Order: sequence, then structure tokens, then C-alpha cells
Amino acid sequence: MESSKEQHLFETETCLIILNVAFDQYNASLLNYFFFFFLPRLMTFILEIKRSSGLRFRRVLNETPVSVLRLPRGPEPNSRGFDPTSPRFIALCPTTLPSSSSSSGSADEEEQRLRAELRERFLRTLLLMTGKRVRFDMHEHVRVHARFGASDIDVLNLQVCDLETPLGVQREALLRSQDVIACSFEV
Amino acid sequence: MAMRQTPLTCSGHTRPVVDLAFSGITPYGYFLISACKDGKPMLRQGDTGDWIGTFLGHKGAVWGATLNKEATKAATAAADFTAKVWDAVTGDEVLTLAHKHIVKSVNFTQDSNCLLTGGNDKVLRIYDLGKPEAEPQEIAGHTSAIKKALWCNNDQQILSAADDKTIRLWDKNTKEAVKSLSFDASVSSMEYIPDGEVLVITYGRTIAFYKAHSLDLIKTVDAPASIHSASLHPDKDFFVAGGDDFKLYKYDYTTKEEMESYKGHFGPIHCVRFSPDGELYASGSEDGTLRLWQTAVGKTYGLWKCVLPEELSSENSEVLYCPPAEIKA
Repeated sequence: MESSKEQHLFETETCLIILNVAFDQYNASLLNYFFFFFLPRLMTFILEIKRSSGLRFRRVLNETPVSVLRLPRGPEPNSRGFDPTSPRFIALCPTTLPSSSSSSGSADEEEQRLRAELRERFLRTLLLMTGKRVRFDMHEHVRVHARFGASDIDVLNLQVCDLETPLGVQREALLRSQDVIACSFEV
Repeated sequence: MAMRQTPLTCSGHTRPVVDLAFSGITPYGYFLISACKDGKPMLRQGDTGDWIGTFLGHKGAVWGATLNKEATKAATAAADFTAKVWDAVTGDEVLTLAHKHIVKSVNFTQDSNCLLTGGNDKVLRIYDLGKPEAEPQEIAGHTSAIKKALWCNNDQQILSAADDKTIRLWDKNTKEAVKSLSFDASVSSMEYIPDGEVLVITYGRTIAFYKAHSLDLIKTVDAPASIHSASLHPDKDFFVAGGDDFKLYKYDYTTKEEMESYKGHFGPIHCVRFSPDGELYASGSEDGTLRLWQTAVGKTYGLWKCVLPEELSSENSEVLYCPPAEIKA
């Protein structure tokens, strides 16, 4: 853009020089050259200045475009959409599970109640176990004692202190729950 | 520091977008439906423009589309002489209503129980969605094709705009025309704002505002080019209009002054609508795209992020590559 501007300026200057020469020595061919070559270029140059003046003004103002995090997601090519795993679909659509009869319905409810009770008992046992010396019975006839600390949210790992192993006492350790068969402690 | 508007372009349609409508605000955000001449109306998340689904089933260009307030139902009007009602959650077609000519406009009542349709057969029809097999109530009177039909005044009256250059206000129960307005040019669009009972009408280069009960003129505003659609902000501070010159104009409603104009579309703009919360407006164009524009340029909303000057130089590249924001539906 800038180089073409300079080129235009150069052409305008050249055009003016030629005009002066033309006035001094009337020369038909020079005038023809002026009218059919330089005048159109001069007009284009003026029009370009007018059109770009808006852009130049904006550069002067230094506007920054608003940033976007990403573009809106477009349609998937092979699907009509309406994702069945979306929260709205799950909340607003009727359940697709087969409706149970009343008798088996109550059996399901009873089972659910028992499961909830057992789960609660297990969690309370874990709470009671914290800080106590616990005996862990593990695979391959491994039996170790340790002070129980905590378990993680999915009960995959158990954090223990002062784990007594054949190699010595481990100050801090993590036991993998799937390796533990049973744990017992004094209440 | 001056901020320049960055419109969000929603692609996906292959033909011109002729109509769009927003739902109300639901616990999952608000939604946008777009009617397109390719026969496949699309549902999008209103604040981000993300595509949710496409309603497949029409065999002709879709001329009108609407959502109910809770965004659980959608209705579309098409050139295949049918209007269809869809479940907007699953995307399934619920109902097909056969007509005798091209259907141009559909509108739900506030309780989503009745559907109003209007089209080239010059007759307004009211369908009871609880009894779809029953014959619809018909209101005749227009002398040429109906372009737009809307419920108004608490769903007791109907407003219709037709190619006979009139807008008529009908009573739903008596089926008689209560009032009528005549224009010199054909009305290109009509919008009804229930809160405040304002009617926004565009014809030629004029955007006119009327009181919906009495059809009394409030004010008119003239635009630089022929306007196809206009929408008033919910708080009635400003309105936007778009038309033949591909530009979107933003006007102050009180002073009628042009505040801004935005370029971006590559074709005439067919429809403009404000979102229900007024934070953005959507425009549909002949170029097949929908663009979402911010009302308050630079504000953090949806996919737009306000970046402070000190952050610009250091985090510029990070902004565009942020992990995607949580999707609502």
C-alpha cells in the first residue's frame, strides 16, 4: 500500500512536470500522453486517498478488535445433533428404561435401601479407623500392621503411617486397596 | 481504549438464512433457531452460537421458524406446503400440519398450546396442539400472501402483515379485524415486544414503532438503505436494523440517532433479533451465515473476552487457544 502511494506521488510529480513542458512547447503527442495516461492515474490516486482516509483514521484511533475464546462450533457432518449425553437432554427427556411393575419396583427399592445402609456403615468404619493401628491382610499371605491415615475418594488407595514391613518400618506409605483382602482393628 | 466489534460467525447453512428466533431464558441458557432456504433449520446455543442440532424433514425452503419460551418445542414453516412442530430437545418431528400453499410464518402462544400459521394462501390458521387432528380455526381477510403473523396482547389478539401492504389486528375469539394499518411499501418485517406492547415494523427505508393495542404510531426512523428487518432492545435503549447494503445499523431509540454501523456480512441482511437478555443480537443474511454481535462491545460474555492492555502483549496468543468454556447443553 505504502509503496504504491509513493509510486502514485512520483507519477503525479512527473505529470506536473510534463504539464509545465506542455505549456511551454505545445506538443500534440505530449498532451495526448497526459490525457490518456496520467489523468486517469491521477483520478484513481485521488479516489484511493478518499477511500482509504477512513482506514487511516481508524489506524490513528488505534482500535483493538475484541478477543474471542474460540469460534462457534459448526454442525457435525454425519449427525443431526441433539446430543443425548447433554445435561438438558437427560433432564428433559423421559427415561428410556423399561417401566417396572409395582412388585419388582418395591424389591428394587428395598435393595437400594440396603445398599445405602451398607455403604454408610463402610464409610463410618473408615472414619473410625483413622489414627488406629490396623492389621492389613493382603494377597500372597502378606500380613502387615500400620497406622491408618485416610483413603482417597474412590477408595483406590489407603494412606498409612509406620507400616511394618519385613524390610523395616516405612514412615509413610500408600497401600493399593485392590491388594487388601481384609483389615481389622481394635475399636 | 477503543474496541472494535468482533462478530461471531455461525456457519453451517448452505443457502440464505431468511428467519431467526430466540427462545426465552431457560435454566440451560437461551437458544436460537435459524430458518434457511436449504430446508434444514438449525438449533444453536444462543450465547455462543454453538450448533446443537438440525431439524431434518422438510422438503422445501424453510421460510419461518420459532421456538417456545422454554425451548422445548420448535415450529417451522416451509415451501413444501407444511408447517412442522418439533421436539427441540431430541430433534424429532412431532407434528406435520398440511396447508394449501407455501407457509411463511409460525408463532407459539405463551403457554405453547396453540400455533398460529400464515402463508401464501392468505388465511391465518390457529392449531390446538393438544388436539392436532382437529380442524384449525381460520381467519380470512387479507387479499394477498401473509408474510408474518404474531400473537399479541396476552395471546388474545393476532397481528398479521401481508403483501397487500397492510397490517391487521384481529381478535382471536371473534375472528374479526379490529384495526388496520396501510403503507405505501410492502412491510418487510414485524416484531412484537410484549413488555411495553411495542410493535417494530420495517418497510422501504423506514423503521416504524407502533403501540400494539391501538396501532398508534410512536415514531419512525429513516435509514440510509432499504431495511429488511429491525429489532428493539428489551430495555428499549436502542434498536438495530439491517438491509440491502449488507450493513447493520445501531440507533439510539430515544434520540433516533445512528450510533454505529457494522460491516461483516457478504449479502443483504434478512433478519435481525436481540437475545432475550439484550447482551447480543443475531443477524441472518443472504450469504448463508448467522453473525452474533455484542451490544456492549468489549464486554466479557459468551465467547467474547475482555482483555486488558497489559494482558494483550503477554497473553495475546493464549486468548485464542484457551480451553473451551463449559458447554451448557
